[in-house]
Amino acid sequence: MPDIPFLPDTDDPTVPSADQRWPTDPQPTLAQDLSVLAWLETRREQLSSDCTDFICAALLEWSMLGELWPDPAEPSVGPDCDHLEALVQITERLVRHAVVAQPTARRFELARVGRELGTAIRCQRDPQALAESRWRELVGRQPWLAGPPAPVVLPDGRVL
Amino acid sequence: MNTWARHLDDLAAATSQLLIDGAVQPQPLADPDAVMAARDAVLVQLRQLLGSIGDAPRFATVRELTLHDVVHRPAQALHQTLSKLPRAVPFGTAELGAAEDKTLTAYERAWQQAARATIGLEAYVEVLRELPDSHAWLALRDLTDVAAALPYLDHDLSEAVLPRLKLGEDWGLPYRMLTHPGHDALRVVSGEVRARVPAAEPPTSDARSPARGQQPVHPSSSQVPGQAAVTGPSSARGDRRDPSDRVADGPHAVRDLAGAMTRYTHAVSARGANLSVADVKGVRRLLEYGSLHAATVLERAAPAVPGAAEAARALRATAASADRLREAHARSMTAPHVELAAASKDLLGQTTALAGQAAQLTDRATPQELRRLAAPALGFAQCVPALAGALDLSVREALAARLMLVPGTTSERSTNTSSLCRATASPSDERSSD
Repeated sequence: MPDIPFLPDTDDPTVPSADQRWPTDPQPTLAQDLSVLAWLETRREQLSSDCTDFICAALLEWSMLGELWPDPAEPSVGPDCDHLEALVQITERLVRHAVVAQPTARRFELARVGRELGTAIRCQRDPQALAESRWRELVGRQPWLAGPPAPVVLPDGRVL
Repeated sequence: MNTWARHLDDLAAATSQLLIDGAVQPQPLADPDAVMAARDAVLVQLRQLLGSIGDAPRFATVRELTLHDVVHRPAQALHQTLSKLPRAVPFGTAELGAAEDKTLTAYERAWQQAARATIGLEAYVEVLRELPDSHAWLALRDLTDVAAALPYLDHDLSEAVLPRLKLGEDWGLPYRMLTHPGHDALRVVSGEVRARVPAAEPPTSDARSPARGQQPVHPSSSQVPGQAAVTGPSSARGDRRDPSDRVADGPHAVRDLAGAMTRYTHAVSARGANLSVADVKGVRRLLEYGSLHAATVLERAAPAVPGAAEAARALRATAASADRLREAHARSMTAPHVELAAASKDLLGQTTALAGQAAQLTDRATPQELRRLAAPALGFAQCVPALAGALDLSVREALAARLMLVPGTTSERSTNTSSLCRATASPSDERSSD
């Protein structure tokens, strides 16, 4: 019996074979996404002030990797697109970049950028809930908020 | 790719995804018990793996963490901090799913993936004790990166179980464990290890990163991991630096916020014509939000501190001016100053903490407490004019040197195609250097 190089998906006859499908649009690169982020950061009419500030924080995290501040560029779908949806899609793509980045440390660098973007999304969706959550995180991070800490004097005389 | 690298790869991928998805606020957990079991698996396995790398004695009580350990034995200190971090749920009360459950959310599946990866690494616990030094350092750094993410992951989990807790479900104990104070020590120690042990180089040579360029060199191969934590990393970085050279000093600097701000202002001045757009953004954020936070503190302390109300009003006006700077668009030819960006973030975090502390004070706060709280805020306020002036001067120098340019628009559709014109001839100059 001759080899059959390609077997169509008989389970789902509505799925066209590979050569019959339309080519999909190429995914934006990380650099293009960052440029759109720089553009979104300036869109205070559509996004809240705090949301754009978290986008700014994400870009600052990016610049802390030694990268230049990206040049702002509109998304390919135009300036009238749903800004929040554009932000969500960029964040989802950043997750995909982060999970395959090398070396391992690079993944966490990108994850820090993504975390700020995630916070921006959440801020736009539910600013009140985010404010409470961040306050709880801050209390957890700064245990001395209950009162100024007593100075710690090291044996060599240094004061921390 | 060997199995160690594969499992570590899976663990890092899952952790990265959790860090981002957790910030977006995942859907309600479908099976919180399974997530807690996965989280505990990650914690316990990390503890074992790091204990092996640091050559921590087995079957011995982990001693209390000391400042000396953090400074001189960071690898072992990391093991100690993880040992002090409790399980979210008691051992045996929740089971980890063996197979991937498609009914779970992506966030929960990522937790399962992370747990499976760490369990896969368990086979290397014994091997790690005999790892060659160079490999041990890389393994330590990779595992430290994952350990450093744990406080964030735990915070996200605590937020995920909070709605159940509010509904009266029995999630009080896991919530307390996930917000355990042991996370603070983990943050400090993992930060210490990450500052001293360099990350692996990117696989391609074209990856450029000044941040990596400032990393210390790898410790020599004559150092075993346990000893190297004493001699290698500490002599490679940090200890030889004069503290006065630092742009800002970490969280403890809140008591000397004015001093930290002064050093930061000098750093902004020193950038001069090399000031980048990212630097401007960082300073602007600090001026806006730092002023707002300091104003909040001073308004709270106003009854006990003469002049605090006036200072608060001035700070709010500064914040409004800094807010307008967001509209100033510019491009720069220079790379951002990594340490300046980190200092902006640190200082902003400190002012945020101050504001939080002011919000926590009760109405019965004594005048002495109010004055103590207002002191760093006043110190910050005193430095704001100098910082704004330094920013103004540096922006003007950068514009004059044409290292920073303001785009002139040639197309209404795209700023990408805009040409660059001389900023000194543009009205935007005044705005950007306001």
